[in-house]
Amino acid sequence: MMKRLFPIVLCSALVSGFGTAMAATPAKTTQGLFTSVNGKVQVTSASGKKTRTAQKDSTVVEGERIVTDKDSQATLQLFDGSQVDIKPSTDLALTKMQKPSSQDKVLQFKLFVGNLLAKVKKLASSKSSFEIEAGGVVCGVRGTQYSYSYDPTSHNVTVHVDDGTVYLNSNGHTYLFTAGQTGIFTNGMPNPKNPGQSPNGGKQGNGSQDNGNGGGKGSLGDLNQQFGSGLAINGDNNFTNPSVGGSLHINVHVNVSPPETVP
Amino acid sequence: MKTIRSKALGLLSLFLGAGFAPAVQAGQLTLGAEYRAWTSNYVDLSGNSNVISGSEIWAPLSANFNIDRDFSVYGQTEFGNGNYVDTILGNQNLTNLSDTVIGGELHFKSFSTPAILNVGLNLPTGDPTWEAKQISASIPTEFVDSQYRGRGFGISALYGLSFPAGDGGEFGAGVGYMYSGAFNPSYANLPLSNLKLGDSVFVALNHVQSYSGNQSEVIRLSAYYSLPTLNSGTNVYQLGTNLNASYSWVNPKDFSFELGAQYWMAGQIADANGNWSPEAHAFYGPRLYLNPSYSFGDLSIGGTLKFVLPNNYDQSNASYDGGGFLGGLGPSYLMKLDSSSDLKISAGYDYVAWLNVPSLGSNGNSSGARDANAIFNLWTFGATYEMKL
Repeated sequence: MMKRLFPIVLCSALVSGFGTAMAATPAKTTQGLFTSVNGKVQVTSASGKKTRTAQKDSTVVEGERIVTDKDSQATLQLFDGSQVDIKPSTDLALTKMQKPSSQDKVLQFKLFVGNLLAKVKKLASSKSSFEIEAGGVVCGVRGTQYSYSYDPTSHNVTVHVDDGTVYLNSNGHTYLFTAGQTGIFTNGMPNPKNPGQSPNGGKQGNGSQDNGNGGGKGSLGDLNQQFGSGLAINGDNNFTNPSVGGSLHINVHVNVSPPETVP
Repeated sequence: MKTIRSKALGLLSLFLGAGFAPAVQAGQLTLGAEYRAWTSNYVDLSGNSNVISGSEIWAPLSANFNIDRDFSVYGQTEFGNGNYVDTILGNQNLTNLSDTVIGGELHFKSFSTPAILNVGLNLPTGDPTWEAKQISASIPTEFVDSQYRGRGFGISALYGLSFPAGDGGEFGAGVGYMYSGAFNPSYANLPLSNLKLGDSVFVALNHVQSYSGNQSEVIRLSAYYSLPTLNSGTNVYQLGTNLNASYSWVNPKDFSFELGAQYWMAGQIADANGNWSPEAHAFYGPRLYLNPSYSFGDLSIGGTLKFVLPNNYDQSNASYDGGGFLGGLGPSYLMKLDSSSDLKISAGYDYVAWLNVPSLGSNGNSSGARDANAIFNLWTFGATYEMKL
């Protein structure tokens, strides 16, 4: 039997509303601005060849990687006004920081380890996105505030939302979390502890021999399961009911004497 | 292997998604191969005492694709070959694509709560006569449903809402509708050339409660109300309302189980002119099932115990069904191939006993007495490859 150690991503959030008031100094387009730096915070260039120490009011750009020491942290203000608090012992890559048009923005991050608190400015267009990926789980929002953390030794993802909507994409499924909901992912898969997720996951039979114990995927996923159980489209069993036309019923018999047929 | 309709037809999904510039590049393609075979002590009255048996090879294909964060499309189809041994309708060697299901699922807010709308289409790519040709060689469908689907055009729609219910709790409520178009399953002496299975209305309520250690319990209640089945526009039969209830305990790292019950109310049966009269009893007896499973990490073992109670007709009535039971066991092993794909290998054995069927005497004639049990042995071997798109 093979046991795997599963990555744990913690995505616990305290949310206090859209559009948190930002620092007075605006960041340049597609840049991030350190509005506070406490302790040792290193920034590695996109090529990985240059490393510099972050300081207050210094900037970062797409592709760079930020690493905080054990007792260090920093606050990064993004060009759109969103804010990311980078907690101690965190390793974060700024995968995408783009502004394709005046209305659109694309912000994507990869969290290798550690904790984040993201205060996300409300997205103004359908093409805009704010996403953080960790441990195979993509956590995105449409204007809210949440925190995100990743511990590669334990492999769990937890999200808690106080306001707005957070979606997580994992293994081809999208899960929605709304205000007050908490969800956990293990090894990139939804954890049955998830009380608030809304997966678009598959259905499993109910009451048939193929039935699985795939519950715990949230109430909406279970509705899918119930709807699909046993009765596929056009699938009511009365097709084989002898009452339908009668002649479909085939009388067949056991070709052994009764005592021999009793198990 | 029961593939599921929330999976998507991969290529079609990709085509559908091409114009949307998806912001979420997530999806899954699933390819499978399965072999099923069964034997029985069940014979027909043709006089040659052939024992009913069958074998099938299936190649299911399914996929889903997230067009947007809140919208995904899915599809599923299956290619199969079936060999069915019986002498009433004749031995059958069938090869065909099954019906194809495509659909979309939208997540949105409704009444300030998370909601889904799932709409599926059943495209009639299958052989509508397949099930009629195989029926006399099959294990009764109250124990094992037919894997093949060739039943004409259909539409299904599900609307569901989720409501928070305390710490770690959640209620779900949903309503659905299934429309079945007419198709021609006619084969041999089956007098149904323009059969429209009854549409169904579905209502459901569930409760999901989460606990520490990734454990959860799920309570599900649902009901299906069926509209009349018609043949060439004339009433034929109306299945009684179906009620379902189940309780699940889920521990993905340990022991899980689902305990459930299904009940059918009496329906209506029509005479040759389509005039209704109520069934004396429900044709389907109540069913109870228990599905335990245990996970050893990548290896899991699942079981099924299912009891079908006899209906209330007298044994002399043609509508009598003696019920029976099914006991099954099946291990499965998940192999992680890389970060985006895995292979699941599974096997299973099911023992089915259909009780109180007529026996043949030594003279080859039936006494008419329901004094024997029909036994079926079903083996299943399968492999499923899953790949993230």
